[in-house]
Amino acid sequence: MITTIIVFLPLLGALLMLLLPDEERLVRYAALGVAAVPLVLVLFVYFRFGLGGNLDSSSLSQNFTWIESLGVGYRVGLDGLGFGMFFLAALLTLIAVAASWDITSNLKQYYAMLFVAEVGMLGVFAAQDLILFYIFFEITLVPMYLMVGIWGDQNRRAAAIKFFIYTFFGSTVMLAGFLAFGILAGTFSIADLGAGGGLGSVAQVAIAAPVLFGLLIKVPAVPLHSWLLDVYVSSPISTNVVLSGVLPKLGTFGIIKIALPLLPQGVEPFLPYVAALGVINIVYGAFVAFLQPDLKALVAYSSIGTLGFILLGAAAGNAVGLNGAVMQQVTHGLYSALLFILVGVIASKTGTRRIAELGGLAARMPWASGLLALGALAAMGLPGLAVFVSEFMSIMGGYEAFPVQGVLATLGIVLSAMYLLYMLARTIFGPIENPAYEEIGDAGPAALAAVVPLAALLVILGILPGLLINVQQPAVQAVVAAIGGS
Amino acid sequence: MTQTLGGQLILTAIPAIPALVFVVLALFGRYLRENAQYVAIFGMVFSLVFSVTALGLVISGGGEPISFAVPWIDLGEGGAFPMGIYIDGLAAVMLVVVSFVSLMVQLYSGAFMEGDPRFAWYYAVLNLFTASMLGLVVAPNFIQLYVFWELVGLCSYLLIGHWFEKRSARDAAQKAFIVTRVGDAALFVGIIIFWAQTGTTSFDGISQAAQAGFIGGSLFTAAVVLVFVGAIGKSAQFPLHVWLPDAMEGPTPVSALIHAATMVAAGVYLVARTYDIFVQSPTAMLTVAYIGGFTALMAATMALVKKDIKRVIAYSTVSQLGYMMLALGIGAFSAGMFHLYNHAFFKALLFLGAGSIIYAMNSYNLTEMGGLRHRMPLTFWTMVVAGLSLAGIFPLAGFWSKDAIVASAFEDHFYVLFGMALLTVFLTAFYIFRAIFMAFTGEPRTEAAREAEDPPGIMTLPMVVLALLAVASGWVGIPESFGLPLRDYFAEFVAPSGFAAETLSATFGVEPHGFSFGLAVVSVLVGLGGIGLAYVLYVARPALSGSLARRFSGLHAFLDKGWYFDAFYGATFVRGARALGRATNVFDRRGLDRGVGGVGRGIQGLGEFLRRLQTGGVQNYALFILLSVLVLGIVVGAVAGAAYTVLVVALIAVVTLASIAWGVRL
Repeated sequence: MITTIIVFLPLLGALLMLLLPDEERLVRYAALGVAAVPLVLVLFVYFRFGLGGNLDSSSLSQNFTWIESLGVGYRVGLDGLGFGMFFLAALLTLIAVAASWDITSNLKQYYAMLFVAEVGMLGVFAAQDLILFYIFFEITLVPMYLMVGIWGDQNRRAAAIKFFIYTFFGSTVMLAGFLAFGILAGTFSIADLGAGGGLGSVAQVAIAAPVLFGLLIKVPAVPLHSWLLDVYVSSPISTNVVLSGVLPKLGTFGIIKIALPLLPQGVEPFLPYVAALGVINIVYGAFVAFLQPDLKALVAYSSIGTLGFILLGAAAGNAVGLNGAVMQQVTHGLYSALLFILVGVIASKTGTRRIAELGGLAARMPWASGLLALGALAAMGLPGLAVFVSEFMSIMGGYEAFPVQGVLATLGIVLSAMYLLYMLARTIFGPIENPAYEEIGDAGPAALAAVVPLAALLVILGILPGLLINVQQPAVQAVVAAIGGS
Repeated sequence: MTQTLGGQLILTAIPAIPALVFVVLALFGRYLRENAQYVAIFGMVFSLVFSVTALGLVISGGGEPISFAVPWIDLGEGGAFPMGIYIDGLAAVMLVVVSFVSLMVQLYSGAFMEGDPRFAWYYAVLNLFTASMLGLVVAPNFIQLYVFWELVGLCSYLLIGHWFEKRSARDAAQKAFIVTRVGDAALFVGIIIFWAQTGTTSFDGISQAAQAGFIGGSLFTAAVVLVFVGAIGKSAQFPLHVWLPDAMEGPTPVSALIHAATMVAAGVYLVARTYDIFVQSPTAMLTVAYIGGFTALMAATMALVKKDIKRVIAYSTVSQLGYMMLALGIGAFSAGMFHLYNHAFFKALLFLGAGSIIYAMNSYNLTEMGGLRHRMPLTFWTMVVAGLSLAGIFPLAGFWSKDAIVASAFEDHFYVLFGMALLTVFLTAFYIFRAIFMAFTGEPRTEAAREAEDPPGIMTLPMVVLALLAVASGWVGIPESFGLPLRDYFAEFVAPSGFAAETLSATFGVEPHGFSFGLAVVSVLVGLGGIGLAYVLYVARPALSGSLARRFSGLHAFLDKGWYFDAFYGATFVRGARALGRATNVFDRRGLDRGVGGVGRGIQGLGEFLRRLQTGGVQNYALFILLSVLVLGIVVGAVAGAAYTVLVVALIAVVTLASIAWGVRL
């Protein structure tokens, strides 16, 4: 029951937003409150059930049937695979509210959109039914489309439409796969569909192909990524937080939660290619980011690169790789949200996102610069920060399954250092390039309140990864067993 | 040997204390300001005392290692990655060296960095640097080693770039990190291969699995060589040595720490730590030996003509690290480690001495110095002691370890390496005394040099202590055959494992070396010859050096530019990366975005249609949303048709529409 409550609470919050009077302070504080409630509940679940390894407790799940003839049901529950992202979706919604200082018009509607999106984001990671998974998957789309299309920059409309069409196309293909799968297997319940739902390997391959394709667009895997740049660059900062922190994981999570364990024979022929796509993401993202003139675009391509590790680890299908992939979903969200917010801070203080016009900010903005450096170091997989743990496990698992892809992925270690240090050198280090920057102040309290928790989590999970891994590990083991048992 | 909980806590505290100091200074540094140094020094004293305690524990335990571990990442049936502490003789000696040198540097830095706007941050990073190195030293497995290995790299990045407002410092820091990361990536691949083949990352476990034949021949060799490439990057060996001379952009006390105890020592230590694995691959051992020998000679030639005093000492470090690698590669394990230990003291002293000159006259340039002997007597004499030790002059510390390496190369019939090493002895003595003569003798060449003074008391204390060690640290390793009533305590304590020793004598025919008076006399004479030549060229007949430089200007430029390595890498790798970056950017914008097989164009057409649809503002948006929700509803309804579907879709539709209708103005 509590899972359902957490998932749908933001919907109430959205309605509440619309009923509030038009008073900015009130609206902002109310939004913070609304966003905090699901997070507090998720933390309660973590300490009450997650730490003890009791996420499968019946008090967290709900099952009842919608359409008996087709085997569709409202089935929600938490498990180790999705819990990290379930937490992150709640956290990043709150962070997004805190980072929404650049939204000045139609504030209430913006928050309402954000909370509707939160329903979808939370729901995806709790869904235990294919159709329900698809519904939540799509619920995120409309509010995201509007957030970009209404509150974005000059190029917002074209970007929003591109985003909508691309990902809607992808999810429709995925739905076709789901429908075929559920109807042939006689149920849409994820719990009952293990090991191919009794289907033969040819049928599994035929279903896995569209499902994987749809999910890979969502990630996005290169070369299916061309929607990403426009959307990321045009979005308001607070939209970026969830757009990059949570939405790509709808795709990767689908691979880990559905494609791998439910269609083990179906995905098997594709896995080397998925791993290769992961490597392409890593290398290609790094090179495009290298000479990127726009700071925000650079962070967007960095994101593409680090998402590649999730694909590699997931495709590996072994305990180490999958644990890395599941964890990387969370760690990528933490660092990319951090970087996007700081890019927003820098852009609003200096009035530009062009790297060539920046330089020497560290002397004037020590906090913002220090945290930007921390985010960049996290992104390049520096030990002591959480991304390292998930990346090294993804690469190790990837090597064990696909040695060539695994070795090539280590190129990312050098390339990411190359473009991120190059970025730091030209933005925060060096002499102050523009005399106007002598006067600018550091990040404000709202911005710091938004990024410090992310930085703290990157450090804490970097030193004590067990806090997350112990929760996800049993569920990952089950996926490994499902793949191996095919 | 299992320890009590209290004992484990004390050993864990060795790296944990400076880590804690880092956290405190990073968070509260701006309130502490220059008091930060006292917090740091106070913590470092404890770390040093505990390190000495650890050394005492290992000695009293008869050399038996102390080890314990906790799970860090536990994947159940999927395996585990532990973190732990492993202290044998080698690690115990390193702990003492690292915490001691760090303490000296921190004592020295307070006055040197006075008035720096980021004073507390400097001390914070210095402590994180020390903590990382200490954590690396006690690592029992590759993952832990890699974690601290990378943190060491981070700290060197932050410290080299401490004065990041300077473009040169910023670029040097970036270069150091990226070049060493090339090595790190190779090391990581090596680790993965070991792990995939043996299922463990522990040094011991991998060594035993390799002995049992779990890892195939060429794959094993590849993995060992890859690990060595990591060491090449960190220890600035050919061909990844290019970052170290530029690293001089950092504050000078940092150079002392980087060159003596942390960072560059990590590479040599890695090879020593995993020696049981290295000795199983003769190919890898020879690679280590020849890379080391070549680097020793190459870097010594680069140091010959440098005008920047810090760069002379920097190339000297590259060269001396080459010696250590050479020793490890030919099986002279104890000799290599003995040199690492002695080198730490005299090299730290050389940098602190250079720091004193820079502090006094704000210049690195040898041609602006001259005559400092009278103005800075303490700096002069300590530098001379360090220089003699570096040149390997009897009976200073450097003599004993350098002699052990040179003699081992000769006695084990590596005559090419022996020749390289002996030539390097000559060059080393020449370049270091060239620098000393140029700085301290003759007439002052600038006003600043005329007014230079020895640094204040607190800065001289570490220099005097280190000078004593530069004389005497080597006396714990005097071979028994020298004739004094002493034994080679160092080699007995820091010895290769029984397995490594057996393998070495079986495959290489390597035996522990004795003391040979003939070789010792030769190497000291060669060293004195180098000093003598420097005296002739820079004291007796200074005009001669200038005319030689003019006559061989091509050679001079070749040496001065560091054999044109930077130019070569710039023209190939840096340019190549930039070209690829530009090409992928263009491809991404023009090629890919226009359409993956026409899909893009189709989408653009559709986009045009939709753009026209929505130009009407609020109403059209509402319409579009309604359409979207309807699509959702139809899709879901087609499958479900149940009440819940309607409920959910309706609720979302209501909220969305309401929010639009409430007054979105575009």
